Amino acid sequence: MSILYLHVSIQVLFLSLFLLFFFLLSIALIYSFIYRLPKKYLISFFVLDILDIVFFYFISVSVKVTKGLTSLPHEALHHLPYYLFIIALALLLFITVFLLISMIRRSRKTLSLMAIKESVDSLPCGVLFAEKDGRIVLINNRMDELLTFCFQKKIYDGKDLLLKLITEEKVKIVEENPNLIVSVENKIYLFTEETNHIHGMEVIEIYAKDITLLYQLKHELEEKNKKISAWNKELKEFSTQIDTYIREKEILSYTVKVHEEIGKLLLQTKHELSLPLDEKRKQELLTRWRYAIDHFLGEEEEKEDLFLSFQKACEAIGIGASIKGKLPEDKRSQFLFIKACIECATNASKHAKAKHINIEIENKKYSDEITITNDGISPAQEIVLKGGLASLKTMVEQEKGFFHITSTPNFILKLTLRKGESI
Amino acid sequence: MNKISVMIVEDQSMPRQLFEQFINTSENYKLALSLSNASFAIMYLQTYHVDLILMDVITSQGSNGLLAAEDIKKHFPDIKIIIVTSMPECSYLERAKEIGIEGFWYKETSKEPILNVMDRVMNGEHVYPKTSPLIKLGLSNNREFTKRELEILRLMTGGYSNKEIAEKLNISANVVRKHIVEMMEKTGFRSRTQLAVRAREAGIVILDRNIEEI
Repeated sequence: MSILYLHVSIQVLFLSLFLLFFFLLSIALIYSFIYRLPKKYLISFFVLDILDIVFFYFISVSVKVTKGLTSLPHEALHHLPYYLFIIALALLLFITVFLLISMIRRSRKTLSLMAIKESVDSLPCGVLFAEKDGRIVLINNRMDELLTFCFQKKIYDGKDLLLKLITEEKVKIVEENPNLIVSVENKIYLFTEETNHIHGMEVIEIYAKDITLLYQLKHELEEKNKKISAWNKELKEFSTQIDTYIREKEILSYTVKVHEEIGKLLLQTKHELSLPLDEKRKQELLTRWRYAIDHFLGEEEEKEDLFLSFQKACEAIGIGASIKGKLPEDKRSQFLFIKACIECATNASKHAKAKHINIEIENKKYSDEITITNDGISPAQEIVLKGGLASLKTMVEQEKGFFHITSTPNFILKLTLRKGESI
Repeated sequence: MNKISVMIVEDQSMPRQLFEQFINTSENYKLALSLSNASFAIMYLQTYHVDLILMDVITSQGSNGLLAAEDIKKHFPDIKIIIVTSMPECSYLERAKEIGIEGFWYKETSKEPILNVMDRVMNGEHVYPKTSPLIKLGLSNNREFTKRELEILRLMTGGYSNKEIAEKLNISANVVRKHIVEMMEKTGFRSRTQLAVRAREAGIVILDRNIEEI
């Protein structure tokens, strides 16, 4: 009887195990779908189920033999020791527990499909992944809503999506190159499309980012920069006029002083005339009146041309100067050209005993060039730059200009500067 | 006694005539030459004997008297120079001292007469005002600005952007912006344009476009 009970107990256990394995097989099936677990778990539980059925059959037969309900050939199984079945049971249980733990551990290290979907849904931008043929693999809620709004229907085909998007009525193109920026219902979106290979499969990735605020700020910044550029331009123009303005202000101030001086003179003259005047006093008074009247009438200031000033200075050092062309408009280039003229004129007079220097200025499209020669004695050897010419060369080269001196057979200085203000 | 020979470099006729008058009526000085453009002064020194030069800073066609003075000092170190200017631009005093100029005289604000300054310079003194004139700028004045602020303000008057100013001064654009904000707070001006225009009008900072020197 006790053997019978044992066999029946074992039978029940195998039956329980069968149900357990069946349950675990279902779990493994679900997990392999959600977590993409390897098929080995499915196969393992299936094999365990089969083994369990086999052992259940054997124990059932053993029970029947014990009850005397059957005979050979199964009688041979009756002699199988019962502990063999217990060992088999224990082994099956051990394998089950091991597989279960392994499966749980594996699933914890793997992202489920739902987790991926939840994550992309929480992204601030729209995301869409589609296969090469257009079948959408993954689309988050933001992208789904945006595309549904634009197309007025659900989108299932991701192929040429952006091309279709720009033809939609609700979509206005803001920029197409290098990125697609569109306006949809007063909001600005930046769309980018990329093609990548994942596990050997070509995947189209499309992202949509709401850049409304950024675009607005960019627009405001551009407007501000335009205003600032305009102000800077005005300021530059103002700074070129300010010297004239200040000069006129100073002239006015001196004129006022002269008026005051005349006023004082009038009073003094009135006083002097009421007293006997000697010749010396008369002359002093007359001189002061002449001076005051000269200033009062005001000689018109000569606005002397720069070249004229230079020619006068050349005459003072006993050298004539002929000039062809006009000075560059850029102040920096003007300064360097004048400096070159002064250095050459001084050196020509001092060292070459020249009587005349020739200056030719050529105003080209992108540069200005000055060539200076003289009719003096040619240098006996190569000119070594020092003093004024050396510092001139340094300044020209700092402006990325070209400076060259030829010593033989005749002295020639050539200087080329790019047009435009330097920073 | 030989009179001291003086060259005047001044582009405005009124102050030039005033100086000429002072010299002509003086017992110690005689007028050698009167010019309006500083750039060519050095050429005249090849042939004219000059002991003293009265040099304006901003002369005709925008030529810079300080640059001309520096050149003259290199080639004619014995000639004494007095800078005469009405501009309160603060860097002029420093530049003049660096060049080794013997005297500095503000046309409108110096209490000492020019002839006195000339006498002292010819006696071997270096005659400089203690500071540049005090010029109001909004709620502030020129003496309340730091050296860096004045450098930035000078470039602002040329219409340079913050980025360009930063590149020229080798500092960051943020530092430039910070200094501009501080200057606007000091002066009470509402915009950088207003600040630059007022500063230039007052002559506190002058950008020399010939050399774009600070």
